[in-house]
Amino acid sequence: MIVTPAENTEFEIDPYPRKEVERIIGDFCFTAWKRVYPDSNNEEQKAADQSNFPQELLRAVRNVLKLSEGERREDDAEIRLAREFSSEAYEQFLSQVLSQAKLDSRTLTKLTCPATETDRRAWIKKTFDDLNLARLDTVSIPRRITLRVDGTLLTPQMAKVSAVIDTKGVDAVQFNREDLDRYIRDDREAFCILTEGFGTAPTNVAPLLQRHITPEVPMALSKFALMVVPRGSEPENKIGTNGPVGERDVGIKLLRGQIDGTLSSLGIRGLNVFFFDPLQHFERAGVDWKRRADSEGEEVTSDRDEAWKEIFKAIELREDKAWERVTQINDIFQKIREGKGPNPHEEALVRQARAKIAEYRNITLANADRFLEMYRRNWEGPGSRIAGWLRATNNRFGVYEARTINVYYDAVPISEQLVRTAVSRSKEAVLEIVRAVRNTSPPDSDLRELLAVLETRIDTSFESMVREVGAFMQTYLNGTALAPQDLTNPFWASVQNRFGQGPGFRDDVLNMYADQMGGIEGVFMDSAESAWKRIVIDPVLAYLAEE
Amino acid sequence: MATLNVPCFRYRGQELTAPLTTEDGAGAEVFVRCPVRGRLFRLTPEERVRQALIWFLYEGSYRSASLREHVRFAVEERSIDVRGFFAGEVLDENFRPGVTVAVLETKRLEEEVKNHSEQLKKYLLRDRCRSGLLFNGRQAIWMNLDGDFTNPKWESELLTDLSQAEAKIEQAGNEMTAHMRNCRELYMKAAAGNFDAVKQLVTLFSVDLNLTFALSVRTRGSLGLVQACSLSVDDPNLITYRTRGVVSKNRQQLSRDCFHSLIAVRPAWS
Repeated sequence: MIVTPAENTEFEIDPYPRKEVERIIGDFCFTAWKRVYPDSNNEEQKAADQSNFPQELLRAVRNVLKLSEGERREDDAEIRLAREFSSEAYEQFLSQVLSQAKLDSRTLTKLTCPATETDRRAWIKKTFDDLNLARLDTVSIPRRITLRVDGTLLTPQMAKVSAVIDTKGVDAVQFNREDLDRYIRDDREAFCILTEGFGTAPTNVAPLLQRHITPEVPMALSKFALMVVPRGSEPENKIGTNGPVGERDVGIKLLRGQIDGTLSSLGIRGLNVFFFDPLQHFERAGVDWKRRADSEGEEVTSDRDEAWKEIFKAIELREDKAWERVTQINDIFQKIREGKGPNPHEEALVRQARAKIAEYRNITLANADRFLEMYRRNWEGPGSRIAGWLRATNNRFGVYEARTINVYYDAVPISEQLVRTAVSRSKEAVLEIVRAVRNTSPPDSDLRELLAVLETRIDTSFESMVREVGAFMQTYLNGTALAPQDLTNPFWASVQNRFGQGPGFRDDVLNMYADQMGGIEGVFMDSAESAWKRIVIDPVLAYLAEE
Repeated sequence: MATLNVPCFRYRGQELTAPLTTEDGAGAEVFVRCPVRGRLFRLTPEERVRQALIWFLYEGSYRSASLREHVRFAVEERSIDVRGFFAGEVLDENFRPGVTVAVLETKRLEEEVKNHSEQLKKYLLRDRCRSGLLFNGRQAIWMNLDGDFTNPKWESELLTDLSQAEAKIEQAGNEMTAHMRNCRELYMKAAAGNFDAVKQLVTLFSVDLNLTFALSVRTRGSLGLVQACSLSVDDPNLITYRTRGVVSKNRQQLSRDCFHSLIAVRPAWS
């Protein structure tokens, strides 16, 4: 969901492609069918039972199909409908359900608030609910919804924001996602607010923060803020040394300390953390919410303003840090420009350093053999993706958007982690050499500034190298190892055919993946070694040679 | 019980109707008994055409007995309306690779069959099958996949008479019988301990990663049974494989010296 201030108020819907909607409905029908006519193979039955989609998407599918949820699972409309067909008539069932979707008439992608609408907020709310839950017969299931809102309807703070983007939820299993990485790494304008419940913070966001906040990216920390959402009296019930703390502020303070402690132990220090419960002053009114009788409108506004204040504070801090960094770099360059250049003694120091650094030109990626093991771990072991998703992912040739699964992108975080671990020692050793020369050079020497620049460059190029290897491995999987992404590829035909052919589905399919990726460790090693030379070491050696 | 005459294209120059035996259900619903599945099914527009085609394959065709000599028809397996499995006499309990001879995809009468050729192509590729029919009771298209499955060349032919489909299914069945007879000979040699014959079988069936080869292998002086899948010939004296149901980082190896005999070739977990 994207919200942007605009002159008029309108929704724009980016729907799932027709084929994907049909596949989603097919998966929905398959699950219902296996519920009514269970499989004798436990593993496949389990895979069929597992919910393939997020709840929100499931509700939308039900609305499109006009199949309502019952009080018990057995009373769900699709279950009752499936019972009307005999056990071997799945295609008949699927065909009937698909016809109920009336996909041909779902072509509308834009809805504008009528000029005559007197309560535009109410229109936005109702239209959003209708779109999100696919309750309109003319609109298909949305993949993304953009809401352009007349600026006068928004809080004043929104005037300083170009867009608010609500991404799909992050959990500890699915934190490595291409869509998130784009905002975090590539979108320089984006500020990322991670939200997590009071009860679990910072467990779910920690892996994501750990991946992105590294010593080589000094600005990464200020890219994030963590908004902890306390629900009801969770802060009061927070257990302290003498049982529940009893007071909201005390509970929040206690958790804040614990979050700081946990993140510090992971090497993340100084993250912006704030607490905001958007529903603190509200209570349920049917399916909706209304302000509690004991809450004043000013309290609501005041809490919201406070949350905005925290957000803007974090953004300003980021801007300050960026400015500070630019100033530092400018100062260094200024000194270099005004300097006299290195003397013979300093040149000798540089030559020695260069020779020492050249010794680190070759690296060994000793952990490359862990690539496949880590790749499989996405699908097996505690906290992994479920077998039903594996089936759905295979049927979509490796990209299952509803669950933000992309088997090609999976290579990125794994490669990055392995390269970072294996090569950071070499990088540290190179940095040590540079630091040693800097420390032994005279206090007023230009060399100090030149080497300070080099240190920063080494970190930056190391990070570029790590990311390039990740991107290369993604391209390799997509363009070589698992290509082409159609049924002419025996691999995809086999993994799709494997479901329904007896026990061992997950193991067999993962073995097929492993076989298809045979030799990937060598490719990985070669790419890391060449990237290290090309992006990190050779430029360092060239820099020292030039100077 | 009643008889419903359903249009079933043309056969030997004459308009053909399939006499389907129907039974009334609750309300206005009508059911039809499927001879393949042996049960009653609701007579939807799709089922009408499917049952008409099945009737033709089982009774209406003069060549039905001959067709069924090579082909066993299955209905609604893995989303395919009607699938003809190879069922020739060369198969037995230990040698029965699941090979699809033809995929027959039916559509309701008012659907244009030409609009569904991509679906048939998908099924043919997924099942590694070369012949398929699209049929709606008034139109029929035959599709052939020529060349390699990784680089398929498609040929399609608009049929004017079901006798053409009959002949093409029979031809596909005969060709498959000849091929499977060769495979059977290789299997017999492999069962007698011929490593080169196993290698040939592995190469011929390597596309079907869901096939299980039951192998007798020599390990530390004694014989053991291995349920091998995803087999591959890596060099003249070596076959690599995975053991069905066993997770391992590396592929297992079977050298010429360790091979004793081939016990069976069967689909996944049959």
